[in-house]
Amino acid sequence: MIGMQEADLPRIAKVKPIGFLAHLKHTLVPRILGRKVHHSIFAMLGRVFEIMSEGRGKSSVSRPAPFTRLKSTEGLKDPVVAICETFNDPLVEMGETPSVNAHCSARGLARIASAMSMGGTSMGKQILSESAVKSLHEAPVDRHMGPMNTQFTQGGVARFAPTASGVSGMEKGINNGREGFYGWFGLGGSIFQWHPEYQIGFAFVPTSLHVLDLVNERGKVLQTEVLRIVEAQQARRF
Amino acid sequence: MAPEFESLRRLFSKNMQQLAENSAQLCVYVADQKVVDLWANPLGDNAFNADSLINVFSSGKSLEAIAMASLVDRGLLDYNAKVVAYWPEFGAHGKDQLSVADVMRHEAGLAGFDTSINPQDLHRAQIKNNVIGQIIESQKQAFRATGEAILANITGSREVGLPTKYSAG
Repeated sequence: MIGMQEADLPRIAKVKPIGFLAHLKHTLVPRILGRKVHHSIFAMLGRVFEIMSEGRGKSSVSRPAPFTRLKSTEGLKDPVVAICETFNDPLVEMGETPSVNAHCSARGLARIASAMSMGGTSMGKQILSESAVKSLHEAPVDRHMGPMNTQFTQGGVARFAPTASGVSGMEKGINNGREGFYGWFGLGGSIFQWHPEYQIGFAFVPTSLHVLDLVNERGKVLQTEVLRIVEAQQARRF
Repeated sequence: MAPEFESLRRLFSKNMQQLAENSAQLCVYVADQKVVDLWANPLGDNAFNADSLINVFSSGKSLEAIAMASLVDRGLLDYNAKVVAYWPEFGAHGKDQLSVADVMRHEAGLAGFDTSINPQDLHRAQIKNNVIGQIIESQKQAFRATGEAILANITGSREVGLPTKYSAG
Protein backbone atom coordinates (compact mmCIF):
# COMPACT_ATOMS: atom_id res chain seq x y z
CA MET A 1 0.00 0.00 0.00
CA ILE A 2 1.20 3.45 -0.83
CA GLY A 3 -0.40 6.03 1.44
CA MET A 4 -1.84 3.93 4.24
CA GLN A 5 -5.45 4.47 5.19
CA GLU A 6 -6.08 4.94 8.90
CA ALA A 7 -8.07 1.71 9.13
CA ASP A 8 -5.11 -0.30 7.80
CA LEU A 9 -2.47 1.17 10.09
CA PRO A 10 -2.76 -1.78 12.55
CA ARG A 11 -1.48 -4.10 9.79
CA ILE A 12 1.87 -2.38 9.82
CA ALA A 13 4.84 -4.03 11.51
CA LYS A 14 7.11 -1.18 12.52
CA VAL A 15 10.69 -1.15 11.30
CA LYS A 16 13.37 -1.50 13.96
CA PRO A 17 16.71 0.01 12.92
CA ILE A 18 20.00 -1.14 14.33
CA GLY A 19 21.73 2.06 15.37
CA PHE A 20 24.86 3.27 13.65
CA LEU A 21 27.22 2.51 16.55
CA ALA A 22 25.44 -0.74 17.38
CA HIS A 23 25.91 -1.91 13.79
CA LEU A 24 29.60 -1.00 13.86
CA LYS A 25 30.02 -2.89 17.14
CA HIS A 26 28.44 -5.96 15.58
CA THR A 27 31.00 -5.88 12.75
CA LEU A 28 33.80 -6.34 15.30
CA VAL A 29 32.62 -9.84 16.21
CA PRO A 30 34.06 -12.65 14.07
CA ARG A 31 31.53 -14.77 12.20
CA ILE A 32 32.70 -17.84 14.11
CA LEU A 33 31.79 -16.12 17.36
CA GLY A 34 28.32 -15.27 16.15
CA ARG A 35 28.51 -11.95 14.30
CA LYS A 36 24.97 -10.64 13.89
CA VAL A 37 25.47 -8.55 10.75
CA HIS A 38 26.64 -9.50 7.27
CA HIS A 39 29.91 -7.57 7.09
CA SER A 40 33.02 -7.88 9.19
CA ILE A 41 34.79 -4.74 10.37
CA PHE A 42 37.33 -5.24 7.58
CA ALA A 43 34.66 -5.40 4.89
CA MET A 44 32.93 -2.40 6.44
CA LEU A 45 36.13 -0.36 6.51
CA GLY A 46 36.77 -1.35 2.91
CA ARG A 47 33.36 0.00 1.94
CA VAL A 48 33.98 3.24 3.85
CA PHE A 49 37.34 3.65 2.14
CA GLU A 50 35.78 3.11 -1.28
CA ILE A 51 33.05 5.66 -0.59
CA MET A 52 35.52 8.21 0.69
CA SER A 53 37.91 7.62 -2.22
CA GLU A 54 35.09 8.00 -4.69
CA GLY A 55 33.92 11.21 -3.07
CA ARG A 56 37.32 12.86 -2.88
CA GLY A 57 37.42 16.09 -4.84
CA LYS A 58 33.73 15.99 -5.66
CA SER A 59 31.37 18.45 -4.12
CA SER A 60 28.39 16.86 -2.49
CA VAL A 61 24.97 18.38 -2.88
CA SER A 62 23.81 19.50 0.53
CA ARG A 63 20.09 19.20 1.25
CA PRO A 64 17.90 19.71 4.34
CA ALA A 65 16.19 16.78 6.06
CA PRO A 66 13.43 15.40 3.84
CA PHE A 67 10.68 15.92 6.41
CA THR A 68 9.97 18.61 8.94
CA ARG A 69 10.69 17.54 12.49
CA LEU A 70 8.20 15.17 14.06
CA LYS A 71 7.35 14.94 17.78
CA SER A 72 7.88 11.18 17.63
CA THR A 73 11.57 11.58 16.74
CA GLU A 74 12.46 14.40 19.12
CA GLY A 75 15.33 13.50 21.40
CA LEU A 76 16.62 10.64 19.26
CA LYS A 77 20.37 11.06 19.13
CA ASP A 78 21.32 8.38 16.63
CA PRO A 79 20.62 9.93 13.20
CA VAL A 80 20.06 6.51 11.64
CA VAL A 81 17.46 5.62 14.24
CA ALA A 82 15.85 9.06 13.91
CA ILE A 83 15.49 8.72 10.14
CA CYS A 84 14.00 5.26 10.39
CA GLU A 85 11.67 6.20 13.28
CA THR A 86 10.39 9.07 11.14
CA PHE A 87 8.91 6.47 8.85
CA ASN A 88 7.21 4.72 11.79
CA ASP A 89 5.14 7.84 12.44
CA PRO A 90 1.51 7.37 11.28
CA LEU A 91 1.58 10.84 9.78
CA VAL A 92 4.35 9.68 7.43
CA GLU A 93 2.89 6.20 6.96
CA MET A 94 -0.24 7.79 5.50
CA GLY A 95 1.73 9.81 2.95
CA GLU A 96 2.11 8.83 -0.70
CA THR A 97 5.82 8.52 -1.41
CA PRO A 98 6.29 5.14 -3.13
CA SER A 99 10.00 5.59 -3.69
CA VAL A 100 10.65 5.43 0.04
CA ASN A 101 7.40 4.74 1.87
CA ALA A 102 5.50 1.79 0.40
CA HIS A 103 4.12 -0.72 2.94
CA CYS A 104 4.18 -4.21 1.52
CA SER A 105 4.32 -7.88 2.32
CA ALA A 106 6.81 -10.21 0.67
CA ARG A 107 3.83 -12.20 -0.62
CA GLY A 108 2.42 -9.19 -2.43
CA LEU A 109 5.75 -8.08 -3.83
CA ALA A 110 6.77 -11.55 -4.96
CA ARG A 111 3.48 -11.97 -6.85
CA ILE A 112 4.14 -8.72 -8.73
CA ALA A 113 7.77 -9.73 -9.29
CA SER A 114 6.59 -13.04 -10.69
CA ALA A 115 4.39 -11.18 -13.16
CA MET A 116 7.34 -9.04 -14.24
CA SER A 117 9.46 -12.15 -14.74
CA MET A 118 6.71 -13.81 -16.78
CA GLY A 119 6.06 -10.99 -19.25
CA GLY A 120 3.45 -9.14 -17.25
CA THR A 121 0.98 -11.79 -16.09
CA SER A 122 0.94 -13.96 -13.00
CA MET A 123 -1.60 -16.71 -12.32
CA GLY A 124 -3.91 -15.40 -14.99
CA LYS A 125 -3.85 -11.79 -13.72
CA GLN A 126 -2.26 -9.32 -16.12
CA ILE A 127 -0.44 -6.40 -14.58
CA LEU A 128 1.29 -5.18 -17.72
CA SER A 129 1.21 -6.23 -21.35
CA GLU A 130 4.27 -7.96 -22.77
CA SER A 131 5.16 -4.88 -24.77
CA ALA A 132 5.02 -2.67 -21.67
CA VAL A 133 7.23 -5.12 -19.75
CA LYS A 134 9.68 -5.08 -22.65
CA SER A 135 9.64 -1.28 -22.72
CA LEU A 136 10.17 -1.11 -18.94
CA HIS A 137 13.35 -3.18 -19.31
CA GLU A 138 14.77 -1.46 -22.38
CA ALA A 139 17.64 0.94 -22.92
CA PRO A 140 19.72 0.22 -19.79
CA VAL A 141 22.41 2.80 -19.24
CA ASP A 142 25.44 2.56 -16.99
CA ARG A 143 24.82 4.50 -13.79
CA HIS A 144 27.82 5.64 -11.88
CA MET A 145 26.48 6.32 -8.38
CA GLY A 146 29.65 6.84 -6.42
CA PRO A 147 31.24 3.43 -5.83
CA MET A 148 27.95 1.67 -6.71
CA ASN A 149 27.94 1.15 -10.44
CA THR A 150 25.02 -0.57 -12.04
CA GLN A 151 22.59 -0.06 -14.92
CA PHE A 152 19.16 1.55 -14.96
CA THR A 153 16.62 0.92 -17.69
CA GLN A 154 14.46 3.63 -19.25
CA GLY A 155 11.61 2.39 -17.10
CA GLY A 156 13.57 3.02 -13.92
CA VAL A 157 14.58 -0.43 -12.69
CA ALA A 158 18.15 -1.51 -12.10
CA ARG A 159 19.67 -4.36 -14.04
CA PHE A 160 22.22 -6.30 -12.00
CA ALA A 161 24.97 -7.70 -14.20
CA PRO A 162 28.14 -9.71 -13.65
CA THR A 163 31.14 -7.57 -12.78
CA ALA A 164 34.63 -7.81 -14.21
CA SER A 165 37.60 -8.51 -11.98
CA GLY A 166 39.31 -5.59 -10.35
CA VAL A 167 36.17 -3.62 -9.67
CA SER A 168 35.39 -2.24 -6.23
CA GLY A 169 33.97 -4.25 -3.37
CA MET A 170 30.83 -2.13 -3.48
CA GLU A 171 30.30 -2.87 -7.16
CA LYS A 172 30.72 -6.58 -6.55
CA GLY A 173 28.45 -6.26 -3.56
CA ILE A 174 25.63 -4.67 -5.53
CA ASN A 175 25.84 -7.01 -8.54
CA ASN A 176 27.50 -10.35 -7.80
CA GLY A 177 25.16 -13.00 -6.52
CA ARG A 178 22.10 -11.35 -8.08
CA GLU A 179 23.18 -11.35 -11.72
CA GLY A 180 20.26 -11.20 -14.11
CA PHE A 181 17.82 -9.76 -11.57
CA TYR A 182 15.98 -6.49 -12.21
CA GLY A 183 14.44 -4.21 -9.60
CA TRP A 184 15.97 -2.50 -6.57
CA PHE A 185 16.29 -2.86 -2.82
CA GLY A 186 15.35 -0.81 0.24
CA LEU A 187 17.09 0.87 3.14
CA GLY A 188 18.17 -1.64 5.74
CA GLY A 189 17.17 -4.86 4.05
CA SER A 190 14.17 -5.27 1.75
CA ILE A 191 14.64 -6.73 -1.73
CA PHE A 192 12.00 -6.69 -4.49
CA GLN A 193 13.47 -8.11 -7.71
CA TRP A 194 12.74 -10.44 -10.60
CA HIS A 195 14.77 -12.54 -13.00
CA PRO A 196 13.17 -12.74 -16.44
CA GLU A 197 15.53 -15.38 -17.85
CA TYR A 198 14.86 -17.85 -14.99
CA GLN A 199 11.30 -16.55 -14.35
CA ILE A 200 12.01 -15.82 -10.69
CA GLY A 201 9.99 -13.40 -8.60
CA PHE A 202 11.74 -12.60 -5.29
CA ALA A 203 10.83 -10.58 -2.23
CA PHE A 204 12.54 -10.37 1.16
CA VAL A 205 11.01 -7.96 3.67
CA PRO A 206 12.51 -7.59 7.18
CA THR A 207 11.61 -5.26 10.01
CA SER A 208 15.16 -5.16 11.39
CA LEU A 209 17.04 -2.52 9.41
CA HIS A 210 20.77 -3.06 8.90
CA VAL A 211 21.33 0.41 7.54
CA LEU A 212 25.09 0.04 7.03
CA ASP A 213 24.50 -2.94 4.73
CA LEU A 214 24.33 -0.45 1.88
CA VAL A 215 23.55 -2.80 -0.99
CA ASN A 216 21.52 -5.37 0.96
CA GLU A 217 23.99 -8.23 0.91
CA ARG A 218 22.30 -9.83 3.94
CA GLY A 219 19.24 -10.56 1.78
CA LYS A 220 21.32 -11.15 -1.32
CA VAL A 221 22.56 -14.46 0.12
CA LEU A 222 18.97 -15.66 -0.18
CA GLN A 223 18.82 -14.55 -3.82
CA THR A 224 22.12 -16.31 -4.51
CA GLU A 225 20.71 -19.53 -3.06
CA VAL A 226 17.59 -19.22 -5.24
CA LEU A 227 19.82 -18.79 -8.31
CA ARG A 228 21.88 -21.83 -7.31
CA ILE A 229 18.79 -24.00 -6.96
CA VAL A 230 17.20 -22.83 -10.20
CA GLU A 231 20.42 -23.21 -12.16
CA ALA A 232 20.83 -26.73 -10.80
CA GLN A 233 17.26 -27.52 -11.88
CA GLN A 234 17.99 -26.18 -15.36
CA ALA A 235 21.23 -28.18 -15.60
CA ARG A 236 19.36 -31.39 -14.72
CA ARG A 237 16.84 -30.69 -17.48
CA PHE A 238 19.54 -30.42 -20.10
CA MET B 1 7.19 -24.88 0.23
CA ALA B 2 8.68 -26.75 -2.75
CA PRO B 3 11.08 -29.52 -1.56
CA GLU B 4 13.90 -28.37 -3.88
CA PHE B 5 13.98 -25.12 -1.91
CA GLU B 6 14.48 -26.72 1.49
CA SER B 7 18.04 -25.34 1.61
CA LEU B 8 16.59 -21.84 1.30
CA ARG B 9 14.29 -22.49 4.25
CA ARG B 10 17.25 -23.62 6.33
CA LEU B 11 19.25 -20.55 5.30
CA PHE B 12 16.35 -18.21 6.17
CA SER B 13 15.88 -19.95 9.51
CA LYS B 14 19.60 -19.79 10.30
CA ASN B 15 19.72 -16.07 9.50
CA MET B 16 16.69 -15.40 11.69
CA GLN B 17 18.36 -17.15 14.59
CA GLN B 18 21.91 -15.91 14.17
CA LEU B 19 21.65 -12.40 12.76
CA ALA B 20 20.22 -9.27 14.37
CA GLU B 21 16.74 -9.97 13.04
CA ASN B 22 13.31 -9.17 14.37
CA SER B 23 10.52 -10.20 11.99
CA ALA B 24 10.91 -11.02 8.32
CA GLN B 25 9.09 -12.43 5.31
CA LEU B 26 10.48 -14.25 2.29
CA CYS B 27 8.47 -15.21 -0.77
CA VAL B 28 9.73 -16.63 -4.07
CA TYR B 29 8.00 -17.62 -7.30
CA VAL B 30 9.65 -19.66 -10.06
CA ALA B 31 7.89 -20.08 -13.40
CA ASP B 32 4.82 -18.50 -11.78
CA GLN B 33 4.62 -21.12 -9.02
CA LYS B 34 5.03 -20.03 -5.42
CA VAL B 35 7.94 -22.16 -4.22
CA VAL B 36 8.82 -20.36 -0.98
CA ASP B 37 6.48 -18.58 1.45
CA LEU B 38 8.18 -18.04 4.80
CA TRP B 39 7.85 -15.63 7.66
CA ALA B 40 9.33 -15.44 11.13
CA ASN B 41 8.76 -13.33 14.21
CA PRO B 42 10.02 -13.23 17.79
CA LEU B 43 8.45 -15.57 20.29
CA GLY B 44 5.31 -14.06 21.73
CA ASP B 45 4.63 -11.72 18.82
CA ASN B 46 1.46 -13.20 17.39
CA ALA B 47 0.52 -10.03 15.59
CA PHE B 48 3.07 -10.53 12.81
CA ASN B 49 2.24 -12.82 9.92
CA ALA B 50 2.86 -13.28 6.19
CA ASP B 51 0.37 -10.55 5.36
CA SER B 52 1.76 -7.94 7.72
CA LEU B 53 2.84 -4.78 5.96
CA ILE B 54 6.33 -3.39 6.37
CA ASN B 55 7.92 -0.25 4.96
CA VAL B 56 10.16 -1.43 2.11
CA PHE B 57 11.76 1.97 1.53
CA SER B 58 13.48 2.16 -1.87
CA SER B 59 12.10 -1.19 -3.00
CA GLY B 60 9.04 0.93 -3.68
CA LYS B 61 10.89 2.59 -6.55
CA SER B 62 10.25 -0.51 -8.64
CA LEU B 63 6.55 -0.30 -7.78
CA GLU B 64 6.39 3.24 -9.11
CA ALA B 65 8.34 2.11 -12.19
CA ILE B 66 5.65 -0.50 -12.80
CA ALA B 67 2.93 2.10 -12.24
CA MET B 68 4.56 4.35 -14.83
CA ALA B 69 4.86 1.39 -17.19
CA SER B 70 1.10 0.89 -16.86
CA LEU B 71 0.63 4.41 -18.25
CA VAL B 72 2.98 3.59 -21.11
CA ASP B 73 0.87 0.48 -21.65
CA ARG B 74 -2.27 2.59 -21.98
CA GLY B 75 -0.61 4.98 -24.40
CA LEU B 76 -0.69 7.81 -21.86
CA LEU B 77 3.05 8.16 -21.42
CA ASP B 78 6.18 7.90 -23.56
CA TYR B 79 9.57 7.40 -21.87
CA ASN B 80 11.26 9.51 -24.52
CA ALA B 81 8.84 12.41 -24.23
CA LYS B 82 9.79 15.52 -22.29
CA VAL B 83 8.15 15.73 -18.87
CA VAL B 84 6.81 19.17 -19.83
CA ALA B 85 4.67 17.50 -22.48
CA TYR B 86 2.54 16.21 -19.59
CA TRP B 87 3.36 18.78 -16.90
CA PRO B 88 4.29 22.14 -18.43
CA GLU B 89 5.04 23.82 -15.11
CA PHE B 90 7.75 21.24 -14.34
CA GLY B 91 9.98 22.93 -16.90
CA ALA B 92 10.77 25.92 -14.70
CA HIS B 93 14.41 26.59 -13.83
CA GLY B 94 15.84 24.85 -16.85
CA LYS B 95 14.14 21.47 -16.35
CA ASP B 96 12.28 21.68 -19.66
CA GLN B 97 14.60 19.31 -21.51
CA LEU B 98 14.24 16.42 -19.08
CA SER B 99 12.61 13.32 -20.48
CA VAL B 100 10.51 10.85 -18.54
CA ALA B 101 13.36 8.33 -18.89
CA ASP B 102 15.82 10.85 -17.40
CA VAL B 103 13.66 11.07 -14.28
CA MET B 104 13.15 7.32 -14.08
CA ARG B 105 16.90 6.65 -14.36
CA HIS B 106 17.77 9.17 -11.60
CA GLU B 107 19.50 11.42 -14.12
CA ALA B 108 17.34 14.48 -13.55
CA GLY B 109 19.54 16.07 -10.90
CA LEU B 110 16.62 16.19 -8.51
CA ALA B 111 17.85 13.90 -5.75
CA GLY B 112 16.57 16.08 -2.97
CA PHE B 113 14.46 19.16 -2.32
CA ASP B 114 15.82 22.44 -1.08
CA THR B 115 13.13 22.44 1.59
CA SER B 116 11.85 19.94 4.14
CA ILE B 117 8.41 18.55 3.42
CA ASN B 118 5.53 18.61 5.87
CA PRO B 119 4.45 14.93 5.93
CA GLN B 120 0.80 15.97 5.80
CA ASP B 121 1.45 17.51 2.39
CA LEU B 122 1.97 13.96 1.10
CA HIS B 123 -1.52 12.87 2.07
CA ARG B 124 -3.84 12.33 -0.86
CA ALA B 125 -5.96 15.44 -0.39
CA GLN B 126 -2.92 17.69 -0.28
CA ILE B 127 -1.34 16.04 -3.32
CA LYS B 128 -4.49 16.85 -5.23
CA ASN B 129 -4.01 20.46 -4.12
CA ASN B 130 -0.59 20.37 -5.82
CA VAL B 131 1.33 21.42 -2.72
CA ILE B 132 4.21 19.05 -3.53
CA GLY B 133 3.85 19.72 -7.22
CA GLN B 134 4.60 23.37 -6.68
CA ILE B 135 7.68 22.48 -4.66
CA ILE B 136 8.93 20.26 -7.47
CA GLU B 137 8.24 22.96 -10.04
CA SER B 138 10.39 25.38 -8.06
CA GLN B 139 13.39 23.04 -7.79
CA LYS B 140 16.62 23.55 -9.67
CA GLN B 141 18.71 20.64 -10.85
CA ALA B 142 21.79 19.81 -8.79
CA PHE B 143 24.63 17.57 -9.85
CA ARG B 144 28.01 16.77 -8.41
CA ALA B 145 30.90 18.77 -9.83
CA THR B 146 31.68 15.81 -12.09
CA GLY B 147 28.22 15.97 -13.59
CA GLU B 148 27.16 12.72 -11.94
CA ALA B 149 23.59 12.53 -10.85
CA ILE B 150 22.62 11.14 -7.46
CA LEU B 151 20.07 8.49 -6.66
CA ALA B 152 16.76 10.23 -6.14
CA ASN B 153 16.03 8.48 -2.87
CA ILE B 154 13.09 10.47 -1.65
CA THR B 155 12.17 12.73 -4.52
CA GLY B 156 11.85 10.02 -7.16
CA SER B 157 8.26 9.18 -6.46
CA ARG B 158 7.15 12.74 -6.01
CA GLU B 159 8.38 13.66 -9.46
CA VAL B 160 7.07 10.44 -10.91
CA GLY B 161 3.77 10.56 -9.10
CA LEU B 162 2.81 13.89 -10.48
CA PRO B 163 3.28 13.00 -14.15
CA THR B 164 1.19 9.95 -13.28
CA LYS B 165 -1.50 12.28 -11.95
CA TYR B 166 -1.28 14.61 -14.92
CA SER B 167 -1.25 12.02 -17.68
CA ALA B 168 -3.90 9.81 -16.16
CA GLY B 169 -6.19 12.80 -15.73
